[in-house]
Amino acid sequence: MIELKDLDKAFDNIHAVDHVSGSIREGMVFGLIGSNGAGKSTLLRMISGVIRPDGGTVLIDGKPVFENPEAKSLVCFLSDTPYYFPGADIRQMRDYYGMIYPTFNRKLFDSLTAKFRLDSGRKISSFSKGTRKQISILLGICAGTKYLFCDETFDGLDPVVRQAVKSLFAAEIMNRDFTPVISSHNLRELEDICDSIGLLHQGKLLLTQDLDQIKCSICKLQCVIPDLHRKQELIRSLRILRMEQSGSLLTLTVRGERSEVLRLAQAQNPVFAEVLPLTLEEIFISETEVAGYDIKNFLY
Amino acid sequence: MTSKISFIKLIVQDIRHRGWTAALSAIALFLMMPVYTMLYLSTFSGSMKPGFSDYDHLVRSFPGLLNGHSIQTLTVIIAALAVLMALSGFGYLHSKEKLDFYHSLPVKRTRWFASAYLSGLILFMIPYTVCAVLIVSAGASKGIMTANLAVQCMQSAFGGILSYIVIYTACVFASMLTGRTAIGLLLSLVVIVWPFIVLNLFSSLQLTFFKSYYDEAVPLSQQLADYLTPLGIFSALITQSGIGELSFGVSAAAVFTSALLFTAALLLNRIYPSEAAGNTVAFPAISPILKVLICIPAALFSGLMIQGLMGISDVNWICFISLLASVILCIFIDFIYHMDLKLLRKGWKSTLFSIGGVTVILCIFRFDLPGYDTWIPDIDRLKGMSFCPDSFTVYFSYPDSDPDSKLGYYVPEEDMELLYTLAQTGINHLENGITADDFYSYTEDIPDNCLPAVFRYRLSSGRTVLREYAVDYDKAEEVVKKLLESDEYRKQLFPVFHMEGKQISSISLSDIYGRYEELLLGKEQRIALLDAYEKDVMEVSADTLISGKPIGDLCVEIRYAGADSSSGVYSADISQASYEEAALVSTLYIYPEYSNTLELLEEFGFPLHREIDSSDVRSVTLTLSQETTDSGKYTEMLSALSGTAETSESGDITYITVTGEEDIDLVLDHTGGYAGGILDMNFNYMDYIDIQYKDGNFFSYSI
Repeated sequence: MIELKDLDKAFDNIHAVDHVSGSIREGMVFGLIGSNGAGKSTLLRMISGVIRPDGGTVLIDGKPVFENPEAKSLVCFLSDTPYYFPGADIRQMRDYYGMIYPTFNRKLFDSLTAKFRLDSGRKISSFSKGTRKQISILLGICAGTKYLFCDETFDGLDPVVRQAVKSLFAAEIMNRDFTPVISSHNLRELEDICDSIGLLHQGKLLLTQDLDQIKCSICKLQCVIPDLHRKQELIRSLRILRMEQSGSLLTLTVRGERSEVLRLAQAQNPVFAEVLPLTLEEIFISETEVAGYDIKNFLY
Repeated sequence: MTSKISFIKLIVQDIRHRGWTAALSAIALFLMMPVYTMLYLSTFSGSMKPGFSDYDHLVRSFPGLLNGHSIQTLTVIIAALAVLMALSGFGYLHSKEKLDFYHSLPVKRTRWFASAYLSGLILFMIPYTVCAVLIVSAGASKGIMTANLAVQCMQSAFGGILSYIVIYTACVFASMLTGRTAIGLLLSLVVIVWPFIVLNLFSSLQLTFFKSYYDEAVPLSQQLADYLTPLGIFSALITQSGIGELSFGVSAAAVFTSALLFTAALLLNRIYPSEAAGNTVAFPAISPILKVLICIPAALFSGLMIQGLMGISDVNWICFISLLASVILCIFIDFIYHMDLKLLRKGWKSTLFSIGGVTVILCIFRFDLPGYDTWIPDIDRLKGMSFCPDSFTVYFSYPDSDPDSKLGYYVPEEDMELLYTLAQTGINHLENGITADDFYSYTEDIPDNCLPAVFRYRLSSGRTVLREYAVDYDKAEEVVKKLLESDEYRKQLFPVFHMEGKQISSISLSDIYGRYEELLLGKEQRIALLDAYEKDVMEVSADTLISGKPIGDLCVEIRYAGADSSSGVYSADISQASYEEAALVSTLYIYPEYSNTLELLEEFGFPLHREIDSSDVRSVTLTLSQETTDSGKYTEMLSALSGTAETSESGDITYITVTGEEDIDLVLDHTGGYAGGILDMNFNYMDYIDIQYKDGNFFSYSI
């Protein structure tokens, strides 16, 4: 398990990660989502032991990670812009990873590169950006580490490859002790990969929950209630994240079980009422809006 | 798990990924070492046997081929490779992608550091050692290699490797302080050069601003520069090891400095913030400190450098240039820090501090706030005092090079007070704007009735302090006359007492006609002649020494023990040694009063003319400056010349050539000596007399 205890990091006057605490459980795909500049990369680099936190600790299976090769050997970090040695081909990078990670599965790597139709003898610098990311993910998966941190690695992958990687993750989770952590702000891409997410905003962790649980705990209510008093009563009875009134149609993003929300709405004799599930993107917008990141602020 | 990652594999991988530097290093060293050596050797077609000049020259220069002492391009390449290896090896610290990659891997930073550091050494040392072996082989095939030369070559190669390590480690240290490779390069230059500048700055500022500053030897701060700064150590290593004289001190300084820089770099590497990649300075807290530390000495150095290059004598200009340089440097450094002109004002505090620092230092020196120039120790604190008018350095020539021969000899205790008052006249002159420098400045008139002189104060604390003043001439004459009353002082002052008869290999004689001949004397005759000369020197009056006209001088050649090439022991440096260990002591002037010397010379068959016989003279040419002509100083003499005197002018100079016997007699009456007196600075070089003798000889005299 990865434990974050009061993790804090500032760059000059920017508080990139603001006293974050939380944990990432094993055996699931964890998604780290957040607005631009929310501190996702900084948090991942701290968890990977790349940068030293100003305060707090990161424990990987109970061991502090910074400058601790024992803990770091459980982790493989894939940066948003993967680094390859100048002039290196896939084989050379494979051999290097094989030297650094004793758990590196060379056989799996060779078979995967063949399946992904990657020419092992070709210089990596000559591949497209997306392909270089594919190679990075394959190297990360085959490193055989318990944790794989992908910093916006999925951004830019085509749907087929994304689906293939998702399958690979699933297979690895089935076969061994494997926990991928993926950061992205492309929520549609994460939605069908992650089991659990952490929402980061302005350096603060707004929530960490299983995706299904989040989806169940937030929903969208659309209703028409002609009586103003009843409408006010409904609003008071709900934990509203977001509210919109379009004509007589009231749209509310609320916390709570869908059935419970619908029951409360029905109790106010609506002309029309229905509860809809939220996409991850809608959840993100609602939650960050509560934290003051309102899309309307960008409009004029 | 980590311990299973082989350290050697990390190094091998690092070298593999820096293949281009390996190739560059190998090619550059191969071209500048064995290839150059082969070409160099091919230029020696003479006999390669001991004793032959080609052999001697080649043997002397050969060790320098291994480290660049004999070929400067190799020195530059060694330094450039050191910088290149350091920046390429630790360039990963300056790239976010590389840093994320390396620092996320399960390897400790110290291991990364050690592997990158060692691979940088290996990338240089392997090709360098191979090339060094090839050079030695080439030397052996040419037939010059001896055991002694092989040892010198090893020393030279060792010096080359050490000098590489010093520069390399300094650059590694600089890389740890920066977040960008280009800035790393700049800071490398600063780390290498900055301490050297700082250590040299103090004495340079003293020399420039203090009018009484004088230092005969290299100042301590400059000597320390050879042992405490990467540039000084690098230069000393190349020089010393290139001639086979590598000192333990410089080697130890190189090892110590490298170890110090290595430790500092290692510690910095452990705390190097990964987020620093791309920033100018890795540790933002040190940015203003670095700026101030760089700006103040660099600004002062700029002022002094421009003064040197342009020959500026007005110190106010140096102050202005230094202040201007401090402003420009602050702007430049701030721009490098932020890469944004709008943010230049962000570092205003450090800018203010830097300019303030430069101003304070300039004020200290410009206005002599410590009172350096007017300082004179209390006479009660003086244990000894010496003085050396600049005329002494012209008049005397010593066989030894002890400081006393350059700074004058300590005067008898009873005369110290008199000398002290002479020094005070120098300080008084200095306060009135007359300095010793005025005698050598083209822009200043030569001060009247003054004499530049160096004073040495030995304090009761044991410290020795030097000062140079323009002292009162009459007072100096009085002091010299008093000092010459002391036999002991005479013996110290006159070079003839500094030689031993057995060391004298030959004596030559110059006469008033300017004719020079070697005295073919036996050993005992030589000793007897010098004994007679010593006797005369002890008896001659101070007046003669000050205003008398010498009628000749002796020149003594001294050979020290071990300089004899016939000793049968041949070393690679024997010709060098024989050159260095032979000394000529010239200008042992002979006055008409030196009766003992003159009698002995006559006895040995070398009589000296007491004066110039006009019948020996073919023509005399007077050269007079415009100033002298206008002053009418020689109008009477010139008007007495016959019509045969030829007058010509060239610019401000008037030439008068006389050939008639009467005219020659007349001019000879006005002829001064061919050499000045003990207190004569010979500054009137615009007026002189050239005599063309009938035997074809030609000689110049003062007028």
